[in-house]
Formats: sequence, structure tokens, C-alpha cells
Amino acid sequence: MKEFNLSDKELKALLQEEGLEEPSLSFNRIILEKAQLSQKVAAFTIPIWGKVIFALLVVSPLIYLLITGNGLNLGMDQLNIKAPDLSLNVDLSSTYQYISLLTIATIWLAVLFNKALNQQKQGKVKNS
Amino acid sequence: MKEYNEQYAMELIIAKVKAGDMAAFNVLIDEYKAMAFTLALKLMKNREDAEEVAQDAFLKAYKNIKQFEGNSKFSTWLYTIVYNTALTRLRKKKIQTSDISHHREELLSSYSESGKEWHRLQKVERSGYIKQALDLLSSEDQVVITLFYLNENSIQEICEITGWELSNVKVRLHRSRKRLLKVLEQLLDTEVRSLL
Repeated sequence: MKEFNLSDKELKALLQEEGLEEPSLSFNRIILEKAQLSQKVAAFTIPIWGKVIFALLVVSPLIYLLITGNGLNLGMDQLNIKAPDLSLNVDLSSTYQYISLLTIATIWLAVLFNKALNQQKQGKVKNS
Repeated sequence: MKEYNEQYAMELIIAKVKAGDMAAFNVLIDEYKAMAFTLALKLMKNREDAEEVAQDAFLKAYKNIKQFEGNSKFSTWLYTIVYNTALTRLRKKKIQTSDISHHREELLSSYSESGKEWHRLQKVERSGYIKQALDLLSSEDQVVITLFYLNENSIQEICEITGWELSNVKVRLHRSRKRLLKVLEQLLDTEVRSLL
């Protein structure tokens, strides 16, 4: 019984002669584009007006509610500090209306965010 | 000395990539794309999928390059990502790769004129037979042979890339080599018979 055999050296030489497979010509370009896009997305900063709107709509009312709310006693009354008479002046008569406004604002900000991302993407295509 | 210079150059390139240099990243892609793609192709069995896997792996490497501390070779780190990305993609696609070599073994004849025929073949023909034989092996056999013989990775590096145990890699390499030679023998045997 005779077995067909090749030494490790021969096998290595044969396989190396065969060489490596080459990907398509656009291989590098696609990776670089994706890498650049991922960098841009990571570096995306919320514009200052977005932060101001967020503060006005969410943070300020929350702080106001925390200070003046019935459920939370911070001992402010003992300090004799009069709670500021703040009003958003948007004619919010109930929690329901306030939540509705927040929902609309959130959707609006999401649409703006999506628009900004799309603009980035289009800019990338134009550049390439 | 040459090896040291190459290693130093690669360290510089990696440092530049870490600093966000796209040109350096392009150099890195050029250096390793062929092997990354070959490795992915051995697992995916399809050029489009292999290309996507290799591209995803490069992208993952780029995003996580700061985690690469240089404890192992960059190539080993990159091929680990390629290997894992391919496995994840295969799991998603639920591709069941069958070990053709097991079926092949049953068909192999115990003796043939293949040895003599092999030495008569021209270099190009031999290369063609090697490619055919390699294609008939299972993905795992192809991966271990490609890494060890083609890319000259050490057994330890293959362990890192595939996550297999050291003993497992040794056994797999031995068996894969044996299977490759048997398939090659059978291919040559068929060729000889067709000529008679």
C-alpha cells in the first residue's frame, strides 16, 4: 500500500504559489467611506439651540416641579424662601397637555436629527 | 533587521490610524486585505459575502483600534476579528457547511498512480489541483491549512485567531493535511484513469 505524500515544505510552496484571493477594486473605498461615516456620526454634536429647547421644555419644568411640587419636601418652607411664581405661559392647563407638548417636541427633534444625518450622508456621496 | 524595520513601520502606521489618519488606514487595508479576504472566503464560500465580512472586520478593527495594545501581532488580532465576523454571519445565515472530506475519504482508493502523475505535472497544473483539492475540504480544514501553510501563522497564533485549544489545532492541522493529500490523490487518480 503506497500513499501519496508531500512534505510540509512542498505543500507550503504549492499553496503559496497558488497565492491569496484578491477582493474587488472598490474594497478599500467602501471601508474608508464607512469609517469616515462612522466618525462623523460619532462626532455629531447637538446644536446649542437644540439644547436650549430641551432645557426649556424638559429640564426647567422638572426643576420647577421638584422645587414646588407637593410630593417632594426639600424643607424649603422652613427656610422661608418663597417659591418663584413661574409660568411657561403656553396655556397648559393639565398634565395631559404638557405630555402632549413634550411628545410633539420629541418627534420634532427626532425629525431634525434625522435630517441632519441625511444631509451628512448626501454630503459624503457628493464628495466621493 | 528587515523584520524589525517592518514591525517598526507597522507600529507607526497603527499609531497613525489610532490618531484617525485615513491614509494610514488605507495602507493597513492594502497590507492585510488579501489574507483577510482569503480567510473570509474559506468560511463563507461566496465572494460577495466574503468581501462584506472582510470589510466589516476592517471597520470593526478601525473602530476598536485603540483597544489593540500590541501584545500580539496586528495580523493575528485582525484575523481573529475576520474569523469571528464570518462565524457570526454564518450563524445568521444558518449555512450548514458539510464536511465533504469525510464522504470523500470513503471513496478514496488505497493505491494509485497519483504519486508518479504528480511529479509529471507542470507547476501551473499542480497549483490548479491544489486549489481544487482545497475547495473540497471543509471550512475549518481550509482555515487551518490557509493560516498555517499560506499565511505561515504559528500554532499559537491559530489558537488565538480561532479560539480553539492548542491540542485541537494540532490534531485539526494534522487531519486537514491528511485529508488534503487524500483528496489530491483522488483527483490525480481520476485524471490518470481518464487518460488510460
